[in-house]
Amino acid sequence: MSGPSVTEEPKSARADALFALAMMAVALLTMWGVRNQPRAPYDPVGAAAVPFWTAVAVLALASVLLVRVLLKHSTRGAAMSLFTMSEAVDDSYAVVPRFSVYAVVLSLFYVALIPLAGFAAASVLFMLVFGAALCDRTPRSLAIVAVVALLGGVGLDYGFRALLIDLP
Amino acid sequence: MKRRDFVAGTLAASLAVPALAQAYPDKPVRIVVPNPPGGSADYIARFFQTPLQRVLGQPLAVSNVVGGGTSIGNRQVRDAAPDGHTVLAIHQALLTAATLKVMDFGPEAFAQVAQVATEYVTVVVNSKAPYQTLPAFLAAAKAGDLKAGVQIGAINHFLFLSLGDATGTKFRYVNTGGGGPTRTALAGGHVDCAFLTVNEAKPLVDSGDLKIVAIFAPQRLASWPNLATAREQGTDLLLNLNYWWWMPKATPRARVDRFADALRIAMNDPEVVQKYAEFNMSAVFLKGAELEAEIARQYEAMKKLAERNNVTAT
Amino acid sequence: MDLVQGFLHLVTGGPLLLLLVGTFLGIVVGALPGLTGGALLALSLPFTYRMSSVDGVILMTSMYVGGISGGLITATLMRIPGEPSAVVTTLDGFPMARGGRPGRALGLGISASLIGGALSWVALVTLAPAMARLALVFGPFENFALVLMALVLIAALSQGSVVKGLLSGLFGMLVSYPGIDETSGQMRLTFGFEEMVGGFSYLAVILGAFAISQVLADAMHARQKFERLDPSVKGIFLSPKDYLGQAFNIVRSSVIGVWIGILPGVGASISSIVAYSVAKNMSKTPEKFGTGFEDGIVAAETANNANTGGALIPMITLGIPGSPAASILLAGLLMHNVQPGPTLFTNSPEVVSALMATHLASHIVMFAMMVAGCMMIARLMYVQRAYVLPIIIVLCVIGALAENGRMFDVWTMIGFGVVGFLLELAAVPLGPFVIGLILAPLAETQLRAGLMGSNGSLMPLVERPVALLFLLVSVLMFVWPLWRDFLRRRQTPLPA
Repeated sequence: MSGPSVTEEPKSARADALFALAMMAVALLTMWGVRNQPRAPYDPVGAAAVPFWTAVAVLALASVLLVRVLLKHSTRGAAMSLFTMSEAVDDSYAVVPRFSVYAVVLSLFYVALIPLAGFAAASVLFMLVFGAALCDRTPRSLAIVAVVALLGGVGLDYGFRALLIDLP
Repeated sequence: MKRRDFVAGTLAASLAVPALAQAYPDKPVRIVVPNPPGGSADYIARFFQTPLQRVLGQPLAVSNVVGGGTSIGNRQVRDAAPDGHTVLAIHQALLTAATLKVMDFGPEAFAQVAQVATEYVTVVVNSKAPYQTLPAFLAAAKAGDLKAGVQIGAINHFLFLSLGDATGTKFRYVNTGGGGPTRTALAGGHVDCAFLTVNEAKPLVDSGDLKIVAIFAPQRLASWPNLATAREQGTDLLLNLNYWWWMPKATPRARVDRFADALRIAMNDPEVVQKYAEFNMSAVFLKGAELEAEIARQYEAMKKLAERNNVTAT
Repeated sequence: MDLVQGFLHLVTGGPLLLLLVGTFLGIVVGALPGLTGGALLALSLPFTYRMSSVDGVILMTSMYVGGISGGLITATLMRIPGEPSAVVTTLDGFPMARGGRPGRALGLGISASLIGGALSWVALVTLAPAMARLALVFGPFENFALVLMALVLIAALSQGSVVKGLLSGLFGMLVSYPGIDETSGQMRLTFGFEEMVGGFSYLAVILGAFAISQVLADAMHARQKFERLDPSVKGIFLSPKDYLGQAFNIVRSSVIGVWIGILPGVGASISSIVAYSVAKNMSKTPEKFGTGFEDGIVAAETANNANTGGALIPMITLGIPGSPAASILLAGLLMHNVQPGPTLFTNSPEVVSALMATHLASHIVMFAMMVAGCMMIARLMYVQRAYVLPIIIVLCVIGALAENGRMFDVWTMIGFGVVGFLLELAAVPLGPFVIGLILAPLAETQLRAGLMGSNGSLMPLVERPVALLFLLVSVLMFVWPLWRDFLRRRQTPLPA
């Protein structure tokens, strides 16, 4: 593993390339999706035209981005923006990327659980697990997480049902 | 507590309706409006919200389930539990959506509850236009292609098709959308004419931007007596929006009738009467076989109109 | 339009409560680092849906104002900009607070916010009606060109690369296409799924991209701790002499803020950056900027609040939002069938007067709340994120369900939350995405309505002067940064 000054550039270049490829995929999907759109009687261009040409623009711009990555032109910082600001970096604590992964995975499980277990139960469980994963694991924090999860889950469920919002 | 509610409910019910539906409704009733808040379909549901609550003895919640040219809300009610606690409030937009096949079902997929109101529509032009009477307007339409602001396939489009069929005129359709954006395009001179309800047209008529050519009603409005009808200008045509209520197909007949009768009682509520007057709507009540015949007639006519004028989707 | 009535309505029970709650929540969320005012607006959308359009406007406008203002608290005290628009405030606010004058630094920022906001309100009230009359001549082609310009402007002025900004905007447009095509009534891009007939719910996409994505990103900062602050706010009230000394700076920064606000799509952060740079360039003592200099705080905080009044002008007169946050406000109006545009003033005067009255009133409420409670709000930073983030996700889920009660919308929201998070990791700005999402349907229906009127000819785009002007500006804004970059490359060979 090399130091941050060396990895920073390739990393952002890789992210840019992935972004460009993902956008191309979405554009191609759109073009494929509108391929059989019929012409409408009152409409000179039809329902397919605007999505199709938007997708063409996406393909063109994504290619520009890819070419720039391949030519190793920087796409970050002062090179291309009219305004750039350096953001203050606070390094007094550890950034834990793992937590964001937890957040993504737990959210997906939570949504999948709602139709199975009902809104209140799923919410309490989600808040318990997510809160416990993020907090500093002292007994006091865990206790607060538990209280917040129970009160929050049940309270929100009750409160919004009272507002006649249909919760599963 | 429970018992007292029950007694009060029975009392209210026994005043007007047969006793067999007295257990219904036994929980809050949800009214689904498949249009956004602020449109005329939404107004109707909200006019009835409190008066109906007084009649039925249960709270009513109006929820706007928007999207898909009303098909999302329509589908949600079609698929709801058929216990009379989910009701749909929508006008002919349900028929246009079915005609255009944006949903794979039509009025036959519902229990048809009642019609509570009719709202006659008007043809509106820019106040600077040279044609300010219906004969002059129709002559101009025959002479050159007038641009009509409509939402393709929606009720304001079908109104023009009906007018064209009755008078032998053709228009160039420009998709300006619903009532709000269409009247803006009309005021800016980007289209030449549009169908609007009196309520939609009024603010811009008052401000001097727009002019109503004719109202397609049987007689003049009491609230706006100098508004000439189409009939007295030589075109005998009535065009209107009909406000209908629907329930899931399998809802027991007794419950459908109970709700329909509650609507009829609520129509005489001073609150509703006053709102009708304010919005220039006419109280027209239909239910049962009469209503079903009327809806079927309009649906058939609309399908024929769509076929003749090549308004198709997918 | 009766403004007096708007103000009178605001002091009745319910609306007053909405004003106070909205401004307060705005300030708190604005001050919190992970969440922006935009996320709060997105979260409030489903709930305003159940209110009248006037009440919804009152709540959302006060959240908008509060959110822009709250960012200065944490920016000044902790060098953590709670809002992107407060980034510049950190440059001088934090050194001054560190230097033992936190009260003075906050006082300058809060007062500048109030005055900047109030001046932009004057612009809003005087310019909007005139602009509405003017905008009536905008036909489909002008509106289409204007939307195009908004997209290019926000991409060109966002942080980072123009190409990525534009791609983000176009991606937002692609996301808006599935569902029933508004012009023909045909189904499009549903890929055979019944749920897709209505397309992706805007609300769910916005909630995901603005709120969920931020929670996901914020989770990795769960360990962040803040040092305890000196709770003294001595000097938070400014003297008349202070105001006089800053008068020119305040007026200049307000004008910059309002003008940049009016430009479609460009948000408050650009306003404060430009105002700060201009103040520095015109100063006799530019070297003092960045060391805790009063002029710097005042310029930044005046301009970002002045942006709000400016951004609302095109939103209500053209239906084109002046900033990403204003685009969420616009979505709120559209959901109520309130059609912003030149005729809004005649058709829904009550909405216009509520919006204008709230804009000023919430600035005053904001001033009172911040002066009285900024230290208490700062103390909220000590609350562990582990307690807050789960609740926000649950609230978002309720928000997505509140609209139509469909699980599909919840999945949409989580999906776009993950997408938004990944985009942020790849340094792709999300502002253009939201602008593209909201404006694409407008651009498409306007273009196609124009073509229906012109029998399929695109010529009006270049024949009508206003449309041509917007097109030229768009092209220029896209080409200029690329060209400048190209020139720079020619001059300095790459360090290969």
